[in-house]
Amino acid sequence: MSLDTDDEILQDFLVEAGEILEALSGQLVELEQRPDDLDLLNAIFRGFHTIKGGAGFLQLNALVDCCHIAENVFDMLRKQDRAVTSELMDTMLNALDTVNTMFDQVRQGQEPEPATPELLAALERLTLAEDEVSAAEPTAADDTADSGDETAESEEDTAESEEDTAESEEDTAESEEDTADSTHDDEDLSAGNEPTMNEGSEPGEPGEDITDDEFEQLLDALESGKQEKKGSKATKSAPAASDSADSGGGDSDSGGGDSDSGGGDSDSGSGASDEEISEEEFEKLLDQLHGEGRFDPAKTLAGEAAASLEDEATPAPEKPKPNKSKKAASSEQASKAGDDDEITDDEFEALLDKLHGSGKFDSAVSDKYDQDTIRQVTQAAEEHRAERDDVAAKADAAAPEADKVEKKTPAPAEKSTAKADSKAQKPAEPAATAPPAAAKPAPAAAPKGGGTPEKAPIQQDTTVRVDTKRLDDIMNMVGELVLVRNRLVRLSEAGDDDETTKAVSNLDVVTTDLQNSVMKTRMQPIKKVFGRFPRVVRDLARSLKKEINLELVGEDTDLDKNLVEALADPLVHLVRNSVDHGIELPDVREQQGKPRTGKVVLSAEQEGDHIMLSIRDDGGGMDAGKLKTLAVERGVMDQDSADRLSDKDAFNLIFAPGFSTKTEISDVSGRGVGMDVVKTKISQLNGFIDIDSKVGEGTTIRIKVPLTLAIMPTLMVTLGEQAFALPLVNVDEIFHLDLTKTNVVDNKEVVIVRGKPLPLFYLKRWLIKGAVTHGEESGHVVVVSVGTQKVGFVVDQLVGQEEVVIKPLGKTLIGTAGMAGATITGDGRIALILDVPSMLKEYA
Amino acid sequence: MSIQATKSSEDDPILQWVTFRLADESYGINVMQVQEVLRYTDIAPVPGAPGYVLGIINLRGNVVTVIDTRDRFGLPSEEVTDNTRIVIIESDGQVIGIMVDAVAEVVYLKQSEIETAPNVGNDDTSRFIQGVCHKNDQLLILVDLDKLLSDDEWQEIAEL
Repeated sequence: MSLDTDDEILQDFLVEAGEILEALSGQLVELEQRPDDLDLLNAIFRGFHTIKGGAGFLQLNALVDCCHIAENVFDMLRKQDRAVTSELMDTMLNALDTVNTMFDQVRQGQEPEPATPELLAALERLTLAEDEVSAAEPTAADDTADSGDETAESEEDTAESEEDTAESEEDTAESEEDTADSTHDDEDLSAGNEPTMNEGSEPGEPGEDITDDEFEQLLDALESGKQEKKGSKATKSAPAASDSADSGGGDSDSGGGDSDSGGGDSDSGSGASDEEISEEEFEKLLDQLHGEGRFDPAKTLAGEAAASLEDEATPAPEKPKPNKSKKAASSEQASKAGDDDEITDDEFEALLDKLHGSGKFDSAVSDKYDQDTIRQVTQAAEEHRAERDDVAAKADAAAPEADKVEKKTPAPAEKSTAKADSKAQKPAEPAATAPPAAAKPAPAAAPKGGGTPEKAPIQQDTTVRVDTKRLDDIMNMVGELVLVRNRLVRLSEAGDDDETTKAVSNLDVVTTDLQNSVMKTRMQPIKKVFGRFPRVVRDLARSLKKEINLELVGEDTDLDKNLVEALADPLVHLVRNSVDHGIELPDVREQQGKPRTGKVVLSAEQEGDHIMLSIRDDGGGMDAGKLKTLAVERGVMDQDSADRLSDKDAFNLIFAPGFSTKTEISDVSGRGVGMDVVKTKISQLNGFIDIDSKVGEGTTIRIKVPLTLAIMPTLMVTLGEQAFALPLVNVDEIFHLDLTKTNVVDNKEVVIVRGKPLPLFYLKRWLIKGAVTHGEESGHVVVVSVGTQKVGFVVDQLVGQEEVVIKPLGKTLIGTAGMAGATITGDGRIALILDVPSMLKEYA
Repeated sequence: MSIQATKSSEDDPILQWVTFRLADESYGINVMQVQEVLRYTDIAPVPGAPGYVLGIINLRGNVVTVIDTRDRFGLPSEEVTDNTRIVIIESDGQVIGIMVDAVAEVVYLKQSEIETAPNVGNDDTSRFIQGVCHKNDQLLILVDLDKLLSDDEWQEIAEL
């Protein structure tokens, strides 16, 4: 079966899960360093859970299975039923790899292949044991091979008995859950008031069909179910779950239900996540409240509200259950669990909308809000009040519940206010809308929920996903604006109208600001690239049996998205190099009086309009002498030139094509991306790479890249009438030259600069048809460097330094030798941007 | 090439053609492919570009390649006059300017009025001709832009 890759939900999931997977790999490695970090554990747990949820919705059962078990393991870890060990981490990283593989398959539109039974079994083993069992079991298995002594056995005994206890606890919990389940089912059957209950896609019957009695009944049933729920949680003493249960306990049922369902949502996350969730819920609740009036004016407000909340509560707490009762949760169960989750979300949404519009509720809730809100809300409320006075009593009865919810979420309440605010204004219009309207939001929300079922709790910022293409377009347009501005600036300089000058300088400022902010939208923290390194280094170090500490500095440095992507490969290569060739084996290090653990520091910082990246290791360093000898041996250069090289130049030899100091290619480095490719890549980004090393102390590689690729600093020159832009990265210096004082060596013009001969070329002869360049007595020379080579270009005029927006040449002209693109100058004319290396290749 | 029908009267759709003059002949291009018509502006030559490329122009911030239609049709080049126009066309996803002596009008032609071009051998010009139309004692040569601009054709020209 192939998957429909055009499916929006799937795409959402891919984006979402892709990001999570990326983060997970970093978090897992981090976890190994800080095994007791509860926040981290929770984050990882949530990560797996979110992927599972999404996958479940999309029925990617293989993925669900794998994530589910992984999630279980982390559930145990965070409950401290199990300790983080290297072996465990290996298995988990393995699991992550498997998930990644499946994910790639999904991305390619294939059904993911199930994880290998071995992996599943290994994971299963990790989840099975609880408390000491967990420690005992794997250890026991391992030990048996070695010593196979009684200790292990006796430990196992203890373990077993404890496991029994655990199981019996679970049983209790399960039976309780059953009750909850059945209540939930009952209600589902009788009420059918869950628009999204049925998979979230088909809006069910709106709840208006339900009678008061039914609601009452349900309420009761749910209440009892709830109580049991809480009980079971307490028994299980899941810290976070009981947290929410506790907080819920004192409150009214609806409040408790709310918090519980939140617990289910976030999988009883830490305190922090609890808060977030409550905020979410709170918002939803508000929605819900607003929807009420529109939905069903005269009836059962309180009852319905409570019941619907209860509704929510029931499926939600049910969720953690299958997870905890793990044993062998089938894929079905798992996916169901995932679905439940989403449905819960959606249901919430739906209910919220239903309730939306109830003036009573609004006002009740808004009591807690600042006065503005109150005013707005009350206004809306008044309208409704007039319409349905008889609702008042019931609504008021419901009010305390809202209050309680509020109480539980004191911190986020402020934030919610704003949201409530906007929503509170709504009731006026849809006040008496027909029920179908209320049901509508549910299906709309459903697909979204599928893709990003639980994104919200993790990321509470309001963000919008924007296509990169769109950003590029905006960037382009801003580029145009900058050009127009430049023209205007020039024009206003020519005239002397004060007003115009003022307006133009104003425009100047605004445009610059706009340009900067648009640039920022494209910026991404370099964390995105750095994030993969802990894993890379860890795996490498383990396979090479080295001890290496990776330090990341300046992860938050922002740079252009394209750059972030383009830098990934070169950086991976360089880091691998450092680990493989740089850092010595622990024993060797000890002999040299260094700490056994090697250090690799990866850092990024902004330097003006550039980003400076550096990879520093405290390994063996490079021997300049050896490099020179090798260079001669490989025929890269002759002995004489090799002898003349400074140490620094010698280090740069490693960037020469066909130069590798390692005699054999290990499977670690030497994977095809040679150092020359790294260098080429960096140069393509208009960047520099520089290397510094000391034998015995280590090597530092520095990479300097511009902040953005869209704008290029250039030196504008003119040849005849036409303007050309030389990328500033290539330009070394400019000077005025008496052209009569040149020498001719080997039929080439040469000028001596500071004692060194510099080949001289007349750009005009190359680039302007029929240009006459003889007989000129003096000219401007631009010294450019290409690789290690330096040449001088004679140009007619130097215009100055200018930042230009690169415009690609059309299809017919792309690939024209020596041309990197075109740009539009301040006066609206076109200037060609020269590609110095390719130009030299073509003409010199 | 897709021929856009503006009005369809059963089997005989009416097509609109922008006519331009080159040397002493009238040519027509499908109006759906024409984006705009510009007066002659300074064209920045591109060193190293093929001979039929006059250079590039700034079209409101976009860089557009301009080709020399005379060169393409094997006609001797002429001085730029007041009537010289650059017709911006879109073909095969790329925007290109073609420089012509003058742009005349938009004519409506019925599909049935278009005759296949007389085969006059392997002439440069005939290569890009889609058909001819005889109307009001004038011969209108209809140009197939996609052929005019396609890479194979360029290749062949380059090899000649």
